[in-house]
Amino acid sequence: MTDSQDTLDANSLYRTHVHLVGRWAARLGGPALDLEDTVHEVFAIACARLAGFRGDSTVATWLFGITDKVVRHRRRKERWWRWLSGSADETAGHMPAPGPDPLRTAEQNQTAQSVYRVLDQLADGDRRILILFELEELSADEVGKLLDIKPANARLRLHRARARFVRVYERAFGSSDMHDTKATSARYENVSR
Amino acid sequence: MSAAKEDSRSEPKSERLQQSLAFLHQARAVRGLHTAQVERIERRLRRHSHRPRRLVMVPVVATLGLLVVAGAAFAVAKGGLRSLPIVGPLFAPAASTSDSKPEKNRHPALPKATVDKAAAPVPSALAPAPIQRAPLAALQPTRVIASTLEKTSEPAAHAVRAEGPRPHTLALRDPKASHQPPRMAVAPETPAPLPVGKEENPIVAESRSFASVLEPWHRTHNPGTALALLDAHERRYPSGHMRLESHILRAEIYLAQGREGEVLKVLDAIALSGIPRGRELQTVRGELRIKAGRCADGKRDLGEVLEKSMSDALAKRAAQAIAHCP
Repeated sequence: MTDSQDTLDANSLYRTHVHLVGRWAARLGGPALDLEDTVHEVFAIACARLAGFRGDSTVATWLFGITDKVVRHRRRKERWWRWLSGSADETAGHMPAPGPDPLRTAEQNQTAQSVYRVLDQLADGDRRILILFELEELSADEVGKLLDIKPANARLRLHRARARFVRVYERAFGSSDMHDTKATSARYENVSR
Repeated sequence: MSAAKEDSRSEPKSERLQQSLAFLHQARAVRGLHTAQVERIERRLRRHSHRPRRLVMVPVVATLGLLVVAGAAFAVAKGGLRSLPIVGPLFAPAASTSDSKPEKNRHPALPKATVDKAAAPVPSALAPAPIQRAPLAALQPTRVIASTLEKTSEPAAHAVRAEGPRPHTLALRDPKASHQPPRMAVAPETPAPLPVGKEENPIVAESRSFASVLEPWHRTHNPGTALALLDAHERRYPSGHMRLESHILRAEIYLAQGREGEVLKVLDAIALSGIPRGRELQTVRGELRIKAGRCADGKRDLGEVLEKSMSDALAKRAAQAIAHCP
């Protein structure tokens, strides 16, 4: 966003895709991620590399690739920080939540955290495909476009990722008493604390 | 029947899948970016179009890289690739790996040598598993002597290495072959000359002199030349610090010539207990003593060998030799 040509392109890129990137980052990173910082980093990289973008893939695929890498990098970093100084929740969990209904936001956050704790036990590829299909509710075609793979391949990966997710889920909660998902996530909260 | 079974299996499976997916779908509610956040990011992007944090690391990494390269170049210029830290030993030739041993670890007269069982070859002809009365002529202690000498003459060999390559191991020489004329008509060289106009440490000088005996012996295996050089060395240092090494070398040369009586005479004059690799030498001496009909002396030597261990190759040889005694 320095010279005029770049400013125009970068500006339009930012305005067109900022909410999409924000949603991807929020989905991929989960509630522990600093969304604003992540989106800023994604667009800083995208703007720096905009001149080198040859249009081999769609802009969305290109941006998704950057977002995925940035989120993975941040998750790795966050794991280190958690190991060194405790999680963000442990450090600043007592601070009031932003938004109009703090209680509701906190509840949603807790639920999402318990889901992401299970998701984080999966490999990056499985985690990504499950998030895109199940949380982002994209079709196989859309996922294929984002990941630059064929839709059939995306469906196959989803099938395998689901099987692995079920295994991880059962390992986390046991296989018998899992009918009430709310109760399950509450139990997971207790266990993980 | 089987279809019913499959149904009953797949039903809980799909039920489990539904439950786990229902759990996963609870995270669908996602917080997006607020308008204020979008504007803040845009402002930040305008301020820092590129990521400046990475640039901070560039000079640091470059400086570190320069230091490493300069250090490596200095090390190479000073002492060759072998002086490089960590990777230096990779460039060392296999035969001279013991060069890195510090001098302080070596006894001036009798260098400390680690007992390397793999490096102490036991003649295969001498090591049949069952103890039986083999003919005494089968006892060939040459290899033990050779490996022992190789180990105990480290300081001398150390001085030689600077001059030329050293054979990896001493070959087992057939005593019969020693009766043949020497392979090379090498004129006996004089032991290494002392540096002119520079007073050398007597131990270093003696080591250098002994190395000048040992090195041609290892290279040519010419007993005549080696004996002549050894005689000259012993004349120069009649009571030197490396007497023991020169005695062992003499024994080895005699063994190569098949002069077992003289080998025994040399070894009889040495107190073998307590010296490095003394156990191997005792095995040789015990075998030779028994072969010479001195069963009591031989048994004493071999008994000491067996005291240390009953199961290794030397112990087997000792037991085999003792079995020849009445």
